[in-house]
Parts: sequence; structure tokens; C-alpha cells
Amino acid sequence: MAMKVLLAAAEEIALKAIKKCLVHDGYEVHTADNGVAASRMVETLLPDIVITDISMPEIGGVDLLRWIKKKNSNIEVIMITGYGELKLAIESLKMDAVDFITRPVNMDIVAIAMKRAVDRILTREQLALYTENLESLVREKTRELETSEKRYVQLFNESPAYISIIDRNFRIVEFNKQIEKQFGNVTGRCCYKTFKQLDEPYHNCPVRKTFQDGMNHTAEIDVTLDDGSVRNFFLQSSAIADAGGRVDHVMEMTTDVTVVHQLQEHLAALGLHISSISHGIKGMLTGLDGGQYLISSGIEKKDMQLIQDGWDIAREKIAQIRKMVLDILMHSKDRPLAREKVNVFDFVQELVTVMDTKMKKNSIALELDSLKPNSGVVIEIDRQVLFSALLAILENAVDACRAVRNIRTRLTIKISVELSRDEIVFKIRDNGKGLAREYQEEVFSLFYSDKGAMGTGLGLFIAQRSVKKHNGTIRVDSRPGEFTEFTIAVPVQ
Amino acid sequence: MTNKILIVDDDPAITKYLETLMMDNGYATCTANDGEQAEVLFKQESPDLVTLDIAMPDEWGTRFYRKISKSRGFNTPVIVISGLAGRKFSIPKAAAFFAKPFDADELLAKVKEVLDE
Repeated sequence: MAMKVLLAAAEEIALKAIKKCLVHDGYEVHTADNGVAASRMVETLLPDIVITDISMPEIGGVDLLRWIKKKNSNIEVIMITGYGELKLAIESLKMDAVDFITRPVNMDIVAIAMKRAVDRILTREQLALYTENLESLVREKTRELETSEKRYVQLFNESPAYISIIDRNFRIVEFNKQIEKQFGNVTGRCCYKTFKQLDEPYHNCPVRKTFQDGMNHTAEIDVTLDDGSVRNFFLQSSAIADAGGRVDHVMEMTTDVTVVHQLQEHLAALGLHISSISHGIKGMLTGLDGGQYLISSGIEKKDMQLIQDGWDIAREKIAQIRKMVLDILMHSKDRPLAREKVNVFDFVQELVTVMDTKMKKNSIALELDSLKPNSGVVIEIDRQVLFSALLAILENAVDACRAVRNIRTRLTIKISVELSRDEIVFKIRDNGKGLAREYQEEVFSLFYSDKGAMGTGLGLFIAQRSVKKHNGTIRVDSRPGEFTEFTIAVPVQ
Repeated sequence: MTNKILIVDDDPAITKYLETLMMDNGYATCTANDGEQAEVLFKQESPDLVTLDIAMPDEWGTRFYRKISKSRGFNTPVIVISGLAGRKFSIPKAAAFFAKPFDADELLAKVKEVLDE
């Protein structure tokens, strides 16, 4: 689009000549023959450039210039000055006129002045465009920054890990939602105190190590939660450095790996399990061979006692194999519990009946402190599962008694059953060989057996699982050479 | 003179089996179900051969072997009969190694061979 030029001069001849020249150069040219008309046209036309004569009646060129610049400083003004008006011309330049042309008007000089004005306009427009671009760029970047910051905060918060930022004094300065959910608002609190209830950072603390060497560190810790459950956590710490490269904060990310741990334990247990099972089976098969041999040797020699001994061995080994196979079946598949209502008195009676022969054979006395026959206490349990669990514990008690060599000891197994609030508590206590303290935990968790060829390390593991599946608890208390007592508590419902 | 065999295994069923098997084949026997008992019998009875189980609850057969092998002029042959897989637990100087369940005839042949009958 052509630039608009307003030409203001009282002198007709000059006007015409300049106009002709500008139109020729492609400008849209308007003319005014006095200052008042010119000012009016500035308002209506909004010209890009005004060429004005300094000396005009009423409103002179300088006044027009002042007025225009006040109105819109973007309009470029070129002054036409006569001889002796140099002072005014300079004043005009001070008031931001772009150039001045002296009379008599030379068209080349007009063209130069015009070019200067046009350059100024174009430069200004480019500057405006550039500024505008810059502004939109800033706006865009700001938006991106906001989005990424939002995303970062979201990631930080929604991460399933526990994330906290810790300063050099081990104080938590930032933390995510997971932490808030578990520990509440922990701003400014000490990490070791909050997460581990310690009075100072612990020996292996990865956060401390990262502060020391700036490297990433990891650790695994056990944390006891408010509900008493123990969970395993995997910790990672990484350095956050300030502008000078000094580690001023450490980010600690913690993941709950309890399930992984359980799986690991399970797999480890299974490995141990298989080797102990195969060892057990080999022993049992050798025993079976023995029983068979004794029977045929007895038949040959017509030795009834030998036949009887052989048969006893064979029966014992068959029972062991049967039990082991059942244990494996029960362990290999995680069956849901088939709960039914079971009368506790009958349940215990049956347990005693099953164990009776074995106990008598080993001269072990039974003390029973059960509920009364008509007490009518009923629990909702998977009868088979819990029965096997208690049987396994009783069989262990018998084995513990058999291991006692002092023949003067009166071997006893005491079974007591009581209803305590909403739990049935079974206690099975024997005065057998007992367990060293360091093995008391192992009895359940690690396929532990101290019975050599007689044990597979399966029984108590399954017993514990069975009780836990009933939301019950099982614990052991023992003193070597004195007693072992298992306490099993199962909720009535 | 009848050769005497000390049978060591924590499982009474297996000692009874080996005892009968050996007696039926003309050997004198004594049996122990743990390391301590075995050590006493070893000193008392001076057996001509020992059959030894490895995994026993109170004392492993390897430890019992170390003890008896330190006694003066020890040259009693030991046949290991164990359910443990692998030679990790075996006794390098053992006269023979039998894995449970073992073949009775093979064992008898080996006993005979070791005792140089």
C-alpha cells in the first residue's frame, strides 16, 4: 500500500511541483494550503509523512509540527524553509522533524528527505515487529516453562516413590504426596528422625554419603510402620548442586520393595526347599528299603520281631512320605481358604486323637487344658489347613521330646486352648530339647530344620503361612534344654 | 575273626537296616545315631570299618571323621552313605561313597572289597 503524504504549503507553485514529483514516486499525496486545514487533515487522513512549509498564516509549520508530534509521534514531518529561516529549521529538528528542505525546492533534495522519512518509518515498523515477536516468544517460553514446571510438580507428587529433598542439616525442605500421605507435613523436620525414628543419621545413610562425595548412593532398610508391620524400602540418593557446583541438597527417592523381597525370599526358600526335600526323600526311600529288607530277612529267619520292626519302619517312612507330599501340594498352590464353622472343643479332641499313638509310642505324656465340652465355642476356619498347621507343631514337639537323651526326664506336651476376647489362643508346650535363641526366628522363615534326615524344613513354614492366612499370629518361645512353646492366636471370625 | 562294622546314621530306621543287612552277611555291628555316640563306640569297639552318614543334626559326619582320623595309627576305612547331592560334603579319603537310596548288593560287595576278604 502506498504511503500517504500530506503536503501543506501556502505557495501554490511549490505545492504542485512537489506533488507531481511525489505522485510520480508512487506516494498517495494530499494537499492543504494552510495550517488549520492541514491539522484537520492530519486527524482525518492519518498520513505517514507530512511535508509542511514553515511560514504559513494562522498556524505556522513549527506549530503544526509540535501539534502533530504531540498527537502522534510516529508521523514523520519534513519542513520546507525559506532563506534566513535556518534557526527555525534547527528548532524543528530538535522537535523531531526528520529533515528540512530549503527553498527554492530542489526535487533531488525532496527525494533524499523523503527517503530518510521512509527509512525511519520502516525501521520503526521493523522494531515494532521485532519487539512484538520477542514478546510473543517470551510469552510462549513462559507458557512452556509453566507447563513443564507443572508437569515436574505433578511427576514429583504422583510418583509412587517417596521423594524428599534434604538440606545439609538433614532437614526435609520438600517432599511429595506419598510422603505427606504417610508422614503428614514434614517440612523442616529431620529425615532420620521422621523416617527412621533415630536421633542421628544412621551409619549407612545414603544421603550422608551423597553429601560427602556428591555421588549417587543406594541402601535397603526395614521400616516399622505405625501399624507394626515391617516393610522393606530401597533408597536412592542423588546430589542437587547449586550454581557453584556445591552439593547443597540431596534428593532421596525411596521405593517400597516389600513385595519384591517376599518374592526373593520365596524363591530362595524354594531353592533350599527343593534340596532339603530331595535329601529328605532319599532318606525316606533308604528307610523304605530298610523296612522291606527287614521284613524279608525276618520271614526267612522266621523272626516275628524282625518282621514287626521292618513293618514299623516301612509304616513310619510311608507316613513321612505321605505327609511330605501333602505338604508340597499344599505349599505349591496358593489355595484360597475354605472357611467353615468349627467347634473348637471337637477340633482339639481330634488333634489329640491323631497324635495319641505317636506320643504314647515315645512315652510322652499329654496335658490338655482345653475348653469345656459344652462350651460351644465356634471358629470360622479352613479346618484342614489349620489342622495341618497345629499337627505340624505337635509333631515338632514330639520330635523335640524324642531328642532328649536324659531318660529321667518326664517328657510332656501340654496343649492349652482358651478364648481370649475375639481370639482363640492355642498353646503347645513341650519340655523337649528346646531351641537356641538365634534359631527361634529361623524356625519359621527359613526352611530351617534341626532334625537332619528326619526333617524337611517344611512343616513350620507352612504352619506359619496357614495361621497368617487366617489373620492369626504364631510365635515361639524357647529355652535350650528346657522347653519350647508355640502360641497360635486365630481370630474367631 | 569276624569283622566289626560301626554304623553311623541319625535315622534309626537306617541303622537298623544296615545292622540287619551286615549281620545277615556275617559281620558284627555296632550302631550310633549321632556323632557323640559314634565317637564313644569308635574308641570302645575299634571297628574294622565305618559306614557314615553326613547330614546329622548334632554333628556332621565330616566333623566326626576329622576327630577319629586324628587318633593314633588311624587307618579304619570309612564308607560314606549320604543323601546329600554333590561331593562337597564327602570325605576325600573315604573308601567309597554311596548315595541314598543305595543298592544293598553293591554296598556288600564294596564292604567285602574294602575289608580285603
